[in-house]
Amino acid sequence: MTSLPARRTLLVLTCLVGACRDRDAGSAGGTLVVSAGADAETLFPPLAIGNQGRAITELIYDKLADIGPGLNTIGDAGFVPRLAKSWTWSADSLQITFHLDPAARWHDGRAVSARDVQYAFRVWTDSSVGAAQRSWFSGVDSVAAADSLTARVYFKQRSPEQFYSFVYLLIPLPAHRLAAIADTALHDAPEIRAPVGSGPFTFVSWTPRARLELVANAAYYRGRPRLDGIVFSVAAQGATVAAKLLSGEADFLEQLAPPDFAQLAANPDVRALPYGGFDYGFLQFNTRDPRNAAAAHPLFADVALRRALTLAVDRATLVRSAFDTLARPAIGPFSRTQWTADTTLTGIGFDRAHAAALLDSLGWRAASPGAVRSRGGRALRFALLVPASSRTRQAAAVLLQEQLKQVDVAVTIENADFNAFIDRASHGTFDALMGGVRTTASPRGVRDIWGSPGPGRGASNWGRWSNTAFDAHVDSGLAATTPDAVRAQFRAAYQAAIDDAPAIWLYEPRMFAGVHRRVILTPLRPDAWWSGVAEWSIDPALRLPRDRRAAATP
Amino acid sequence: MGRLVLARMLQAAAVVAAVVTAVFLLLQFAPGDPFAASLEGADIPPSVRAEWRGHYGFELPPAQRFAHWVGALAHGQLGYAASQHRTVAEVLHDALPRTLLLVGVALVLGFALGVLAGLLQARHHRRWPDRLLGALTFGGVAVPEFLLGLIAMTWLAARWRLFPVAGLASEGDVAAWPLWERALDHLWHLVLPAGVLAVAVAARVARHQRAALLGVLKEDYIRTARAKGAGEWHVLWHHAMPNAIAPVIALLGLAMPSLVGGAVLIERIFGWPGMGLTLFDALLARDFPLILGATLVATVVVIVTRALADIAAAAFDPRGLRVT
Repeated sequence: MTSLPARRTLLVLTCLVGACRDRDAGSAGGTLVVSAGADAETLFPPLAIGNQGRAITELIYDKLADIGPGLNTIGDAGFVPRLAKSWTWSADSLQITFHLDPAARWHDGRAVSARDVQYAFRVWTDSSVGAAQRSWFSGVDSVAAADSLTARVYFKQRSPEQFYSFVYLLIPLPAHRLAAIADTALHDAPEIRAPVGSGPFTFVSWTPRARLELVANAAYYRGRPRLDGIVFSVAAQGATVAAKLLSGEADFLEQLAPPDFAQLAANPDVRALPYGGFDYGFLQFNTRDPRNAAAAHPLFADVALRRALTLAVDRATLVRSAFDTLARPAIGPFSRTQWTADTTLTGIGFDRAHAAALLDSLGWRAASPGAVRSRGGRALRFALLVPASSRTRQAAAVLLQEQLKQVDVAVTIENADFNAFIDRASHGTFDALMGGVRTTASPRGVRDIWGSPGPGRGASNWGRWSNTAFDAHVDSGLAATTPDAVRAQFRAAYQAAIDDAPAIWLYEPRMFAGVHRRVILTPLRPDAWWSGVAEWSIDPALRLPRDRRAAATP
Repeated sequence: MGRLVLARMLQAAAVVAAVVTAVFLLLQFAPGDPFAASLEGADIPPSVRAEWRGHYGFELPPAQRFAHWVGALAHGQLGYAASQHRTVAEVLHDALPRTLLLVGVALVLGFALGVLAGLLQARHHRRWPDRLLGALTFGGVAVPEFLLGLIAMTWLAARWRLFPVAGLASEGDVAAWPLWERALDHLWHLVLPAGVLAVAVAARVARHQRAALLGVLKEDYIRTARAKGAGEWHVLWHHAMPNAIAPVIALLGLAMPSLVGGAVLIERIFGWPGMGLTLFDALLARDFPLILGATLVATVVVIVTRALADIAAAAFDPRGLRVT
């Protein structure tokens, strides 16, 4: 029996909740038009490697579980259930049992089953399919269907990221529709071009390089999405992508470019919404001779010279000049958004006088004021390779050239078409290059990009820098089982990389999405802005004729 | 006539073969392949990229790849566009009609405006309409299409919202619209890209039309017509124009290559997914089969259009002169 005041409070609360529900019901709906600078290369999840392909496939297909807002990749802390309602670990951690949600359905009405998980694992790991992330499943031995709603994953060995690797990348596929197709024929099968998924949105149509349309899945097991539909409207030209948003033809743009901000200031309908990014940019030194990989680079094999050049670069000014406030100086081989990031590391600060003195002490001296430094008849002069497709890297390269000129170091900028840039970078035929990396939530990518070239590491280490202490700390970090231990090892690895200066860590661009005021949205997750789209809606007061769409039912 | 057509066809086949072979050879000097662009991704191991290259035949020697491509072509297959995960034929099947529509509308619009401008200039020779149109046509020839496209997109679409910024159709439940409404909407989206392409065509046609008319207006039969009391517009339209139009029609055939070239940038600016955008993307992605397929089709289109323009010019020439 409740007291009268308590019943009154309950009544008020009930009314408030009811009002809130009514308001929510009223505000749900509308169609989100996303202005996209690129199209999905495919709608087949194992081959969708670009951001656009991932966004679309992950709206159509659900995962077993999704990473949490903290972006932790160790164990299963923070992961939220999706197709798997729950999961249990075996005592030795070599087995994870996923219990599927019995309400989960494919868009054609069939129940999602353990066989779909089993089938997806087979497809993802079949080399004839060519899934980019196949190596992430190297620790998985097999997947078994204990019953229709229980998938059991057996691992060959324990690893801290075994749960993340499996659930974040492997998307269950509808075996009842695809299993009859040979794996080698899957990539261009008609069933792939009109996908039947398990996610919040149902595929409607796709005009490649133009537009892709999805509608709300009314039978979605986690509740119908609030939006009625999503349209990805594709344009290749950067100015066109922004113009669509600014003119009101689109509602959302994943990433605003620096030139867009001037127009944004004069447009009250669109706002810039900051969210975490995973990119960082750097000047990478080649430590091997570009003409003879067996020999050391005549300049950059010397760590003291690399440190002196780093010391001569005023990164704060460079970032401000090239990006205004749209980036911040990078710290090391990581992005601040990664959970292993550490902002307390000791970097090589800017000190031009100290840099000049250090160069003098190394024997690199200028014959007269303003002349290029030289030592033993060799001038301190190098070529900086820059991709012509990146305006920001070009701007940063010009500023670097000027800053290094202040300490009598000559830099020649070599612009190259992106393919030529990649070709020369991967063959090591450069002195230094303006590089950029998009990391992931997991820190493991650092082993491939900065690890010493060798088996299992350093495949994309174009400067062929080698540091055993860095390698050891990264290996230990990736093997550690607690977040604190992982952080400690990566902190040591990052510090080793900063001290050894294989690159001048330049900038971390800040990500800003462009959002029309029509859109009512949830916070954007840095690794996947689309992760909360099912909760977005269009303001009823600002609806347009294009918002009307009927949800799909199986 | 039959021998002429046969000779033309053989000539066309030789041109197509030469163009495709030249493009293939040039591509061998271009670094990269469809899988190089993903090299900056942190989580794609080189072994996977090597597998992709092997799977799509990029590890084969160039001569073998070209032989495979020619062999497949003989069987009516254009190969596989790895950058789009579908066959080249499917890609071109989507893209070609859009470009033909864009270029066709631009050609017709440009021709009509150009002839009209040339006519006005000839009618008002050395007076202000001639000078004004002369300056405009000079500008039309001089201003690059991509610049005009960006200006039109920024001002007419993004700022003043008179036209759509980009794309093939409006957003919304377009599929439920009546056919005529969908067609109108499609044309509405065509106005800016086709209009921009038409400007250069109109400018060139106007300059040629003016020169051709002024040349014809000096002829004796024109003086005779005027002496018989015919009005100036009647003289221009009925006596001068038939003799001045043939070289302008032949010019349309010559305008086709530059129109197709212009479409590459215009389609990119206005998000019109035709042959130009396809070729541009394929070049960036180093998708060799798609580049070769698109080049082949574009070359055939240009040659056929040129031949049609020649035939039309011959048909319109009242003196029965064969234009070659």
